[in-house]
Amino acid sequence: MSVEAKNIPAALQVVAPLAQPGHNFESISAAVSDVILEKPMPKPWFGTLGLGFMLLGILGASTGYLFWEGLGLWGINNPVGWGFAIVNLVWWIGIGHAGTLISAILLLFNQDWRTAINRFAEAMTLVAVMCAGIFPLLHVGRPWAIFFIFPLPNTMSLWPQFRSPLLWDVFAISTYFTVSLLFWYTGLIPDLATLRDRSKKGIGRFLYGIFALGWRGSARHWYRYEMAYLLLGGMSAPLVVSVHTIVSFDFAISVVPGWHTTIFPPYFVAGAIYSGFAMVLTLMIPVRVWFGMKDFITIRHLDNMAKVMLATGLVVFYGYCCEAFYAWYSGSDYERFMMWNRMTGPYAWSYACLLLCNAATPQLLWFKWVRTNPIPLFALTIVVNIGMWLERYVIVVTSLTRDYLPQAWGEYAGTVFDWAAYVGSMGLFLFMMSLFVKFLPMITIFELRLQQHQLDKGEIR
Amino acid sequence: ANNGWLQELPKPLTKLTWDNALHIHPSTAKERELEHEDVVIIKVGEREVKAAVMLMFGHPKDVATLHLGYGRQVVGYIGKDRGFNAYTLQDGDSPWHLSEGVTIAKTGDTYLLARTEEHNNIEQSLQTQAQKAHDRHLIRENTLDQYKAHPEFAKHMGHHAPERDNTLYDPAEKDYTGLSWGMTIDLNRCNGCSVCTMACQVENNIPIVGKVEVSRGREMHWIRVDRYYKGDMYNDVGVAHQPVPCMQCENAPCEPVCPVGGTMHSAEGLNDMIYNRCVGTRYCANNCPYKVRRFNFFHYQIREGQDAPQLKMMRNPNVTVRSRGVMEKCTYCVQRINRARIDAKVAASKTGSETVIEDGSLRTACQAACPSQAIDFGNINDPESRVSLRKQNSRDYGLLADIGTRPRTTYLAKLSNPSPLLAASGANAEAHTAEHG
Repeated sequence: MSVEAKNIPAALQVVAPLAQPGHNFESISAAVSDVILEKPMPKPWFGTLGLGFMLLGILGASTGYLFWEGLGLWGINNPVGWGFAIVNLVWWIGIGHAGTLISAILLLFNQDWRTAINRFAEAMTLVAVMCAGIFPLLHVGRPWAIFFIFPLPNTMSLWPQFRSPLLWDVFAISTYFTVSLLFWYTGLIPDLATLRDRSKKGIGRFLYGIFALGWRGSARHWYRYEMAYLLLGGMSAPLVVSVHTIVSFDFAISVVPGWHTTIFPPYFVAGAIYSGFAMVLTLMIPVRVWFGMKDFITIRHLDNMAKVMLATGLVVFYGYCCEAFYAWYSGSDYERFMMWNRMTGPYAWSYACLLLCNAATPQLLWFKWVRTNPIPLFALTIVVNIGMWLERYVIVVTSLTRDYLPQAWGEYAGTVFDWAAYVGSMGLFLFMMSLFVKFLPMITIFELRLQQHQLDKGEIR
Repeated sequence: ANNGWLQELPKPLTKLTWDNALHIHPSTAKERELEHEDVVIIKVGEREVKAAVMLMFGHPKDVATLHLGYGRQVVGYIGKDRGFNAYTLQDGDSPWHLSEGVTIAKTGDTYLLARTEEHNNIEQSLQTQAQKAHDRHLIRENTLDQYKAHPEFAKHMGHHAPERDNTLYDPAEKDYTGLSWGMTIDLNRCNGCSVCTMACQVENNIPIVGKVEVSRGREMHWIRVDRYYKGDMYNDVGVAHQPVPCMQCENAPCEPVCPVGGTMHSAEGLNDMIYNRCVGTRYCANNCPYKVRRFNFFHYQIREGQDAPQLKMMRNPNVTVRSRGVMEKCTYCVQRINRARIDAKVAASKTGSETVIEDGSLRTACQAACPSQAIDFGNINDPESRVSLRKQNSRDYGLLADIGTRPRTTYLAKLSNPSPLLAASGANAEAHTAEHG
């Protein structure tokens, strides 16, 4: 489909090309696969790998000690039964949603700008879900009995309790991981074949060959590929909405004031996409420089991702307004006090920071200069990531510290072990992402070639 | 004393554990620029002792209190170095109070006072708590005259509980036949002594957790006595006590949220906690509006010297000793219920008659220990049982019943009978009549 340059309003003008001109099929394949096969890794990569590994060590050590001593090492207590672990779980799963949206939903909407970013984002999703998945194991009192949550056949005819949102999480998150993994892997197959064909003899070529599943690039292969990918995309797309809705049910299904509100499902989903895009940008802005991908991940991609951030950030802000409005409109003393306490109580600092990071800061994205300049955009995404963590902190901690019976009120602060687990999970993330960029093509090579073909023909801009 | 149960039992008015403290009224403290948990040095002539300041509403102004019996050095592991030794200041001429020549000076240090209520900003927090307790009609009370005029006053304070049939589920599912356990706590009789807390701890093998864990909010008591201030907190404050055990809600919020089914409802109306199924997600504790559920954050049973061989013999063999990572809570002394049922069956089989548990033969630990018999427990399906008669009393109301939990433990509202010669004061204020919910 041809796009005419005239009569397009200024705000919708193309801010940068989809890919820098001057590339052909060979240069594209070389640019992406040489990172893995030919060139030495850039120095910053050793930094992220090393840092990730160290933090992973901290995760391992603190987890081991936690399993040995007990959950008392963390800051949780009565009445605050959940703390950092749940905040981190929701934070990580939220981050994962960007990848699935880019891969699946933008696929279904035929958005061309997904091409250069979907592989990296989807990998980020998988790693983020892995990081999220460690927290349910860590935060239970008896991790050795965690298998009770699975519907495994047993001699007592005992099922898990299906009315519990935590159990819905089990199914939602495992489905999410499985489908995302299959979707991501299916999309990798033609690229693994490229790597197989371009790599020199050795263990690398052998492994790429195994995982390429015998891809020949024939018409029949492509036909089946396109069908499988579309089907998997269709399966992944609803997960963007359903998974975080179910995670929000952990809170919305309860009776706790501040948790029990119907705005949570859309508010959480919007927040997830918001934080996910922030994390994709946080990673992608340095990566495109370090690995020489600026020709393919252009300012257009940064601009579009920033626009999605702005849109979802506004929905999140609307969610904050709804929460406050419902609390007042409900007439319930419990709800009204919850909101009052959030604004003026012992944790008012966290609510103030939250509004600053999540409501005020994204307004900067209205300005094209911020959206199209990598450095301010990078700084903004860091602020948004912090803000989204604070949002879950506010929800969990301010609601639990002061709820129905005042004599049961308490307080919460994260201990060094809480922080160790959180920082350690970031180490797992960095480490796995570093491995990803080392061994797998961070941009979909064949889709880039297709994009180049369409650009050359003028079918897209 | 070298008794962990006593050390950890919160004092009825101040909720202080493990130490004594220098009680001072907040206004007096402000005048002298003393803050909560400040360490001060008290001097009388040549005698001196250090103590930590504790702000206390209701304490007389311009007076400070330091309880005797603390600060012992030769007493054993539990009792050693708890609090401050007031005997150091004691004078043979005036053994119980010192009115002259006392100086109190700040040392600049602070000292952690472990209390079983919110720890930050005690002055602000207690006022907020008192206001909210009042707004939420948690402890309902009235004068005798108002009660005579409006006997149903307690039922009209606060919002009404949802109707039983107001559910998408079949309401008849919640019809209990046979034995059905319930409890009432008469706030008119409760004086806040906290023996119920202690008796429950003894009966149910509840561990002590130590001062640091109490300060972190992890005390394990299954029944606690809540204390709310009311009236003018700075000048004419009153206090009310409310024991809070597990309500064994018919519509328990804790049950649907456990992912593994670690807490279920029994046919006799008990909310059963299944220790060996619990994986410890703590969602049930979050969802309990009464916050009566207690989690074993550490293996508390072996801490604080409780794994000594002699103390193993102390434990009640009829009650499971819980390990790390499981949730626990009041069970209406289910071990006693089961014991009574077994005994009744055995007796019935001997005489060939029906199994019947005599009303009053089965008492929960808290009920048995209460010196004013404020707690009543029994079969609510028996209209003649004491607990049923109490529940029929017009003063009966459920705590937080407006959120629909249908608690089996209900309270009888408190009555006061102030002398008309006393000016209407915070301690004896008349409640609003016929408040609508």
